[in-house]
Amino acid sequence: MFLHARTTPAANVIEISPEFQAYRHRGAMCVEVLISNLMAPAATKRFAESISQFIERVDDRRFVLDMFHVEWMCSLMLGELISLRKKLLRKEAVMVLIGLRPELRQILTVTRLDEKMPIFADLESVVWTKT
Amino acid sequence: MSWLNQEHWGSNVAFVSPVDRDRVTRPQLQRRSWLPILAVALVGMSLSLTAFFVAARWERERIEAAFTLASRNETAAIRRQMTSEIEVIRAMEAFYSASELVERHEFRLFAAALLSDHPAIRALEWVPQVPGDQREAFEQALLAEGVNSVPFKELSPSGAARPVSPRDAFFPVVYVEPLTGNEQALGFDLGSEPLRKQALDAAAQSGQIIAAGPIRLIQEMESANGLLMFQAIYGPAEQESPAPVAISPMGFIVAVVSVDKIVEQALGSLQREPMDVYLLDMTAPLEKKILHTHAFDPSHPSMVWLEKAEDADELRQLHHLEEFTLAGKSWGVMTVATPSFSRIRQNWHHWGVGYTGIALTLLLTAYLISIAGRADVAELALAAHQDELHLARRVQVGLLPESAPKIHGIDIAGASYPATQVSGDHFDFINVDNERLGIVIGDASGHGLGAAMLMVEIRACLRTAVGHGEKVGDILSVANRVLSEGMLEDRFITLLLATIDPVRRALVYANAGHPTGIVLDSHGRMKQSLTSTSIPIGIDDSEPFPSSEAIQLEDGDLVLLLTDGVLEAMSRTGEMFGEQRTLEVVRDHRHEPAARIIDHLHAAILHHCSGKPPHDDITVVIIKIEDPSAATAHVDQAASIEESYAMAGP
Repeated sequence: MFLHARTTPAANVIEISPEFQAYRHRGAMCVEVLISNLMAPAATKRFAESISQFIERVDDRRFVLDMFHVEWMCSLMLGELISLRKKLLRKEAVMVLIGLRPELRQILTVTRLDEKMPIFADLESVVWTKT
Repeated sequence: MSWLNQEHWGSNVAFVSPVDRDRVTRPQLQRRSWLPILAVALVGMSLSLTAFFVAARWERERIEAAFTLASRNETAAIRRQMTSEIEVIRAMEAFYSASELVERHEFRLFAAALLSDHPAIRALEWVPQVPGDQREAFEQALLAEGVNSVPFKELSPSGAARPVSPRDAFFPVVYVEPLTGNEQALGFDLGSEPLRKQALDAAAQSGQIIAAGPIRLIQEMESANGLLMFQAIYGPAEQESPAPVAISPMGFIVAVVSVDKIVEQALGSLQREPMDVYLLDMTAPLEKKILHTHAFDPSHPSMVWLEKAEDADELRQLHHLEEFTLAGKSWGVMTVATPSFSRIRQNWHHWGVGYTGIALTLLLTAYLISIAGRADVAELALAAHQDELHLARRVQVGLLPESAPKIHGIDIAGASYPATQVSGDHFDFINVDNERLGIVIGDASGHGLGAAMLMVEIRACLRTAVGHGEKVGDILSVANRVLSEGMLEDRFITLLLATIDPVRRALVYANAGHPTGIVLDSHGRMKQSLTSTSIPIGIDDSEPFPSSEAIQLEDGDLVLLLTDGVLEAMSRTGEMFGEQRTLEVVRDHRHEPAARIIDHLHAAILHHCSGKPPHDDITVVIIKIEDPSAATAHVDQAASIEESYAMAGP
């Protein structure tokens, strides 16, 4: 199931695929995930591949992953997020998450992955630190 | 000192696969039945042949229809042409009816005008009826007129002209147009020849145009096939009579008609079709039936049918016979198709249909055979894969504890319900040292074979690491360092390792990103949450894994450890089973044995899912604290824990 952008300024969109769209905002690359259900392994794999290809093409050091449209995700998707974070770290880039629903936020909190991938409410409230 | 030995292992362990482990046998490749493919081939061939014959019949009918249409056109053309010639006689009749006396020059002028437009009429004649006693006077009048045609003549049996014999009436030709070439006809008595006399009588009696023939024309025109057409002419008084047929006519208009010209003129206006046309006199005997033959190829006329003309339907060639009546005679137009008629119209579509059908059938059959072959390969691969899965499941089942440790005063049970044949969930009981029992529950990301392999690895790591750390956190740190090397980036394991000291009733745990465990007191109230103390294993090899403080367990306490498959089991409406329902079930049954509580919990989950299989593996471990004095007594008697696990382990 694909949803469409909520508030993305269309003029700033630099990349779009069925899985996500990306735009730059205040020095960060914002990636808005457009898939609502990340439970199916195929959808997870497709998302992971397309976003991995994308981050290889850009040189940004700050990434914001907007999960507003994501209703639920399985542990495979959690693994893909961890993998994405590691890839960005190798490029000396960092990643934060925004727009998480409470139940998804709880998963990250329970697993303490929020320590590795900081969570913010929205784009405006993101605070960048060196880690 | 030990609190555990072999006989103290209970049976509170379950691993329930979607396929009952006892019923799993190596899949056997079924012997393929080729009957369906054969049936498809036979049906395809039958349909192709049927289509061929149907198309051939359509083509034959199409050619027959074209032939019938062409035949009718030609018949109509001939009939029109004959009618047109008859109109000339009617014009002459009208001319005579309108005149009291037609002089020779008047006849010539009128007839010549008509003949110029009708070449098929080779001559028009005026034949008066001369009573026998007026013969001489009539002949004298002709001589006076300068006509050298007396006396009236007839043909002798040898064919030579001779003066007519005396009789009641004579029917001499007195006017003929054109005269040139027809001079011999002047003075010839038509009544002297039986066929002509019969026609004269019929024309006199009927008052209609009567045709006679075929005859050999006395004018010796180029064609032997000719017709004579007679029209009786009555005098003015006779014309007013209501019944002119009962009165003898004053004379006759006779037209000498060339059959050949009629047919050629009629067909000349039509597109030439490759067929032979025969004009028939249907009243004539068989040998005289054909009045004219119009062959498409004169050197190869289709004369074979003549022998069976009485029964034309027996002809093998495509043919058509149409009859009509005109000038008191029954005519027939017979058309016979030449071989080229069908050949130029044949489109061979039926062969195309037949060959295409057969070719498609062969292709389809070959494709089905190919598919069947590939299906065999796929089935073999699937069988091999299932065999591997079966083996993997057996290995995984073998790696689970065969039974739970049975400790006086502590009731322990565990169960795992995989979503697929193999599970990414795991639980284990490990003797950490002689005083502590280690309890492990873990969940590898994803599920299926990949997750199961991860769990096999973590089990081995943990069992190895227990010898390298005092604290549970240290054990997890060692396992994490080992697993992080070479582990796929997108894989991780959540895991909770707890140790229970049955003598001191102390529980210590380390939770690597695993769902929170719960400790309930004897009243079912929440006593302690075993929350996560670190991130999951396999993400960061330098990550510290701290241990919790010791939690003092008391009589009636219940420790519930589970995987996220319990909490996230989804109903058909998308509602998760959740922590609240889990706790309700456990509280309601907390007085029952640990294994029974797990059964109740699993049943409640299945009920919540309404029969829909849970999408994730489900694993639960429950530890109940019962009688402290029994546990203490038993510890004194038992051998070492290591000995016990060695005996009971896989």
